[in-house]
Amino acid sequence: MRSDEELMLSYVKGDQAAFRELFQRYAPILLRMLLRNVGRAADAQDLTQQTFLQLHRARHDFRRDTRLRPWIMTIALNLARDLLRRRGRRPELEIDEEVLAAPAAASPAANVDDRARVRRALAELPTEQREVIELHWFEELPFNDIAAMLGCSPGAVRVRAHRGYVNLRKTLGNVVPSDQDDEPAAGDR
Amino acid sequence: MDCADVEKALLDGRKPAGPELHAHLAGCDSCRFLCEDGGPVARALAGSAPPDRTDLAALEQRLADDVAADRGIVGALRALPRPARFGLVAVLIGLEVLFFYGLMRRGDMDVYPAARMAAILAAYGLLALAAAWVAFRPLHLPPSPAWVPRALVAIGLFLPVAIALLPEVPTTAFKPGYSVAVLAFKCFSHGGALAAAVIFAARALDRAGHGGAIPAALAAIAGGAAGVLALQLECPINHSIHLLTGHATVPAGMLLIYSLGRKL
Repeated sequence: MRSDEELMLSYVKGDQAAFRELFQRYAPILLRMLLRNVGRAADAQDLTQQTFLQLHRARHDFRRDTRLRPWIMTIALNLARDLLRRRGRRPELEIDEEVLAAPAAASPAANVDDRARVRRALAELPTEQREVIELHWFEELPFNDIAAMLGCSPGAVRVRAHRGYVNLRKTLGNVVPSDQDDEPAAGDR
Repeated sequence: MDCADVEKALLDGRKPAGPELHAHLAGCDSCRFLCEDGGPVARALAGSAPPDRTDLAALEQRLADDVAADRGIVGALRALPRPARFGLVAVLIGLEVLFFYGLMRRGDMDVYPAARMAAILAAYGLLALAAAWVAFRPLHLPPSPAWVPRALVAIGLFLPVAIALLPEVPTTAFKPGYSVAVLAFKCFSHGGALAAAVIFAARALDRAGHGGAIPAALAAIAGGAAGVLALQLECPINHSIHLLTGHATVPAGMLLIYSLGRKL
């Protein structure tokens, strides 16, 4: 299987199929990230489309030694930031009946109300903390990559992540079960 | 052990442990928090992702239409690297300067203090180029610090005002029969037309099209600075009131007109 970077370099040379393959690989990732970032499915789709259009426009800037994943995610984040700036900063959380009706995942936050509260708590974080948690936790990007994407030091990124987690803990309060809650009750042992 | 290992262990309901963990936690505040107090936060986050039901085929088709529409000359110009696009705007401004200096030079150029003229032209030129450079910042780079575009817009608005308020160079008087308003309108419309050419070029070369407010404001400032630069070469009236009403209004007017245009 060709790497992301090989696909991008092929596209720069005119291989349209390579661009389609990049879309297949990255569209689901970007949709997920952007939906968490901006909160509305229609906006996330529009931004995903815009991200790939920008990737097409910036194709001649791509260098052999560049990694594509941080590159494309930086484009998506910049577009999302611009949208949030126009909208007045906060992500909007869409009330989506299908989402509420979707089967809950097997997790302590599986309850739909709790899931909505976790999403709302994430949305209420300052942008710089939310972005770091999104990228590090959900997209599994290392702090060094995130630092390069956000234009700050890895140390600053770690501090933002830590503050974000602390704020989430405070905001979520009783939504998150404590470690003790996860322990089996005495009578169950 | 890295952050991903810690998070996976927490999600699996395990308590990560061992010397490798301690070594990692020593340099990673966020993982230390997740291990000590925030494990429940980690698990709550894991369950927070909304299901996605996007029709990828339809999205891909819309993207294919966008990419197809982006071909042609403008598409090719937008795909140029930032230095090349910046260079095109710089050449346009340079041609403007050459045209006005060569063919429409102000009548008092020979008696106007050369150092002052050079300083004013350099200030407007640098402002226009700096605004264009920042406007063309590619989206795959982290954004510029927020103060950079704001400072450029502020300088773009206040520099012509500051220059208008400098001690007057008494070289040319108003011609009898002309009103301040008529002369101001004449210079504003002339400078505005020149500014519009630069704004048009900057917007055509901007990869985000008309989407971003910051590149749009910077394009208006770049165009406005180019317009005032041309007026400085062409217009021999040095009265502060004329420079304030006919010249300094060009960048502000461009910003206002462009902002209103974007809202409509």
